[in-house]
Amino acid sequence: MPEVLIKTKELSKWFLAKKYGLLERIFREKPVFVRAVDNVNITVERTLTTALVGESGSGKTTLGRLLTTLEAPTSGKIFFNGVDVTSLKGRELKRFRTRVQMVFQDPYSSLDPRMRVRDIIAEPLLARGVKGRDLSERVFKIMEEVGLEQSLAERRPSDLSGGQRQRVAVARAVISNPEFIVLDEPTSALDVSTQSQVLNLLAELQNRHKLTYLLITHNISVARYLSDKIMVMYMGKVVESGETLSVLKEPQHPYTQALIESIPDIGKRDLKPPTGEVGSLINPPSGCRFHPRCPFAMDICRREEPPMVEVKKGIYVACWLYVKR
Amino acid sequence: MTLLEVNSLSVTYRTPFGTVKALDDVSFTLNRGESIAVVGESGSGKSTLALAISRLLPPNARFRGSIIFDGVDLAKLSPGELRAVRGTGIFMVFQEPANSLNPVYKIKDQLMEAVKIRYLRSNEPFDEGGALKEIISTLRDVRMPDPEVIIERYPHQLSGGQIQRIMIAMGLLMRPKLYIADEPTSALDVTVQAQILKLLKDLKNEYNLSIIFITHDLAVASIIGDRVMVMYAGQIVEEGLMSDVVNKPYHPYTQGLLSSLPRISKHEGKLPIISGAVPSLINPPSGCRFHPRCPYATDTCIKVMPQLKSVENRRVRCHLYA
Ligand SMILES: Nc1ncnc2c1ncn2[C@@H]1O[C@H](COP(=O)(O)OP(=O)(O)OP(=O)(O)O)[C@@H](O)[C@H]1O
Ligand SMILES: Nc1ncnc2c1ncn2[C@@H]1O[C@H](COP(=O)(O)OP(=O)(O)OP(=O)(O)O)[C@@H](O)[C@H]1O
Ligand code: SF4
Ligand code: SF4
Ligand SMILES: [Mg+2]
Ligand SMILES: [Mg+2]
Repeated sequence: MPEVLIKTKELSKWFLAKKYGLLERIFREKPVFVRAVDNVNITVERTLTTALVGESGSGKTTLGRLLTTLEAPTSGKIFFNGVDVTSLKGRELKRFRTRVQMVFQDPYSSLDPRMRVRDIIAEPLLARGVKGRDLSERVFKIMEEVGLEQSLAERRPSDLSGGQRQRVAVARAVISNPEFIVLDEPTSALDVSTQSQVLNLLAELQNRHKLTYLLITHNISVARYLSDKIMVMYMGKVVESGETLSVLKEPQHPYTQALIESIPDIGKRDLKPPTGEVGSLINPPSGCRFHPRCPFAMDICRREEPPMVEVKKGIYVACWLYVKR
Repeated sequence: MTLLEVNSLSVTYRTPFGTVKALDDVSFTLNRGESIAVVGESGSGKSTLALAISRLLPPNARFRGSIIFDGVDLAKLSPGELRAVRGTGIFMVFQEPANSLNPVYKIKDQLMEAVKIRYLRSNEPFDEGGALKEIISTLRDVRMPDPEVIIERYPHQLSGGQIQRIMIAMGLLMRPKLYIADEPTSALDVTVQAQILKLLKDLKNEYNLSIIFITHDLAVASIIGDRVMVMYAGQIVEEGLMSDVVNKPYHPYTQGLLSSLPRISKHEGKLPIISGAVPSLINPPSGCRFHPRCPYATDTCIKVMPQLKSVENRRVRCHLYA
C-alpha cells in the first residue's frame, strides 16, 4: 500500500474575474470571482503518478500551482507528509519549496533564454547552497541521465529542439531529488515521436528515484501510459477519481464517459461529444455543474451539488446517479 | 469529380542561413465531397502546402508547379482574381488564427460578411435577421459559450481558442467548395474537438464539401480523412485510403508514427520511438530523406532518392517497395 504524500481539505482558489478597483468599491459593486478550484479534497500517493485530466479552464494548472505553493489558496488546507503547508511563511516556506518542483507546459517559453543550459539545470541546487565541483558533477550526471549530450551544456535554450528543451526542464526538476513533481502538460508541445522519448524518460526516472508525479494532461493516452491514479476535473471540481486503467475502461461519471467518447483513436469512426452548452465559470450552473450537458440530468441535479461517493473499491464519483437515497 | 489537382508543387523559403526546401515535388488530387488528412511532424511542410494552395505564401517564398482548382490554374491568377476565388471557392482556417480576423470590426460584422458571400453566390435575397440567427446557432454548434455576448466583441477581446472557433464557424457559414483547416482544433478541448470534427463531417456529407485537414495527430486524422497523405521533410512519403494506411502502413515512417501513439501503460514497458530528429530542410539528407532515422536503411537509401510510386492503390516513397 503506497502511503499518502499530499492530502487537501476543502481546497479552493478563487480569482477576481475583473479588476476590482476604487470605482467598483465606490459604487458598491460586488466583486466577480472565477472559481478555478472549488472545494477540492484529493490525495496524492508517494512514488505513484496521479494524473489530472479535464477541459481547458477546469482548474488543473491552478491546482498544480496550489500544491507546489506557487499560489496561495483562498481557503482550505494542504497537508504534505501530514504537515499543513498553507500556513508556512518566510524561511520555512522557502525551505519547503526546495522539496517540490514543477515542469511547465511550454518548453519554448518556460526556460530563461539568456541562461546557459548548465545554469538552468543547476538552479535548484544553487538555491540549496551546492557549489563548485560538486555542482557541475551533479549537473553532468543528470544531463547524462536525461539523454542530453555534454556539449549542450554551454548552449542556450534557443539552440535546442523542443524535445531537448523539455529534457532540460525535466533535468532541472529532478536534480534536487524533490519529493513531489508537478508535470504540467509535459509533452503537449512535442511531436508524437519526441513525446514517446520524453514519456519513457519520465517513467524511467520515476522508477529509479521513486519519484511522485502529478501529471496534468488533456491527452488520455499520455495519462494511461504514465499514471497509476487519475482524477477528472470539471469546472473547478474533481468529479471522478480512482485507479487509472479502471476509470478509463469503465468511466462512471457522465462527464468522464463523454470525455472518453470524444477521444479520437485509430479505428474509431465516430465520436460522441456531449451536447449542450459549455457553462460559464463566473456564473457556474447551479447544482451539478455538468447538468446542462448531461444526458441523465434529473431535477435534483439542477438544485443540489452531488456529494463524492465511493461507487466501487477505490473509485470515487460526484454524481447523483450513484447516491443511494 | 476532381475539384483540386496539385502538380509538381515545390516551395522554397529564402532565409539568412540558406534556402529552405519546404516542399518538394508534391502532386495529388482531391475529389468533390472528399476529405484528405495531411499528417507529419513539425516542419514537414504541412502549413506550407496549405498556404501554397490558397496562394497566401509569405514574400520570401518561391513556388513552382500548378494548382488546378475547379478547372482554373491558381498559380496563374492575378491578385484580384485570386481574391474572388478565396471569397467563394476556398476557405482556410490558419494554424495561428490570431491575425486572420480584421481587428477593427466586431465579430458579428465579420461573420455577417461570410453569410452575405454565401447568399450572393446562390443569388438568394439577403435577410439580416435570419443571418444573425444562423450566426448564433453556428457559434453554439462550435460550443462557444455566450455567443450573443461574444459577437459584440472585437478580435483582441477573445482568447486563441475562441478565435479558432470563430474561424471554424466562419467557414461553416460560408460553405466554400474547399475547406482547408490547418491544425484547427489543436488549442481546443477534446470534447469541443470531437464536436467540430462531427460538424465538418456533417457539412461535407450534406453539401459535398471537400476538406484538406492538417494535423500532426494521426488519431484525429483517422476520424476526419477519407484519405491520408503522410509528409516527411517536405515530401509525400505515403498516400492512400485512410483505412488501408492505418491498418497496414507501408512506409517505415508511417509505421513509426502509428506505433509511437501511446497505447500501453508504463507497467507494460517502454513506448516505441522513432529515433533521431526531423532533419534540416536547408541541407536535407542525401538519398531517402528518412534514412538517418530508418531501421531498414541500406546503402541504396543513402545514395538514391526513392520516387513516389504506386503500390496497389496507394503511393509510397521507399526503396523497399520497388
Ligand atoms: N491569475 C489568474 N487570474 C485570474 N483568473 C485566472 C488566473 N489563473 C487562472 N485563472 C482562471 O481560472 C480558471 C482555471 O484556470 P487553469 O489555468 O487552472 O485551467 P486549466 O485546467 O489548467 O486549463 P488549460 O487546460 O487550458 O491549461 C480559468 O478560467 C482561468 O481563466
Ligand atoms: N516564412 C518562412 N520563412 C522561412 N522558413 C520557413 C517559413 N515558414 C516555414 N518555414 C520552414 O519551412 C519548413 C516547413 O514549415 P511548415 O510550417 O510548412 O511545417 P509544418 O509541417 O506546418 O510544421 P508544424 O507542424 O510545426 O506546423 C520548416 O523547416 C520551417 O522552418
Ligand atoms: S449529478 Fe446529475 S447532471 Fe450531474 S453528472 Fe450526475 S446525473 Fe448528470
Ligand atoms: S527508402 Fe530506405 S531509408 Fe527510406 S524509408 Fe525506405 S527503407 Fe527506409
Ligand atoms: Mg493548464
Ligand atoms: Mg504548420
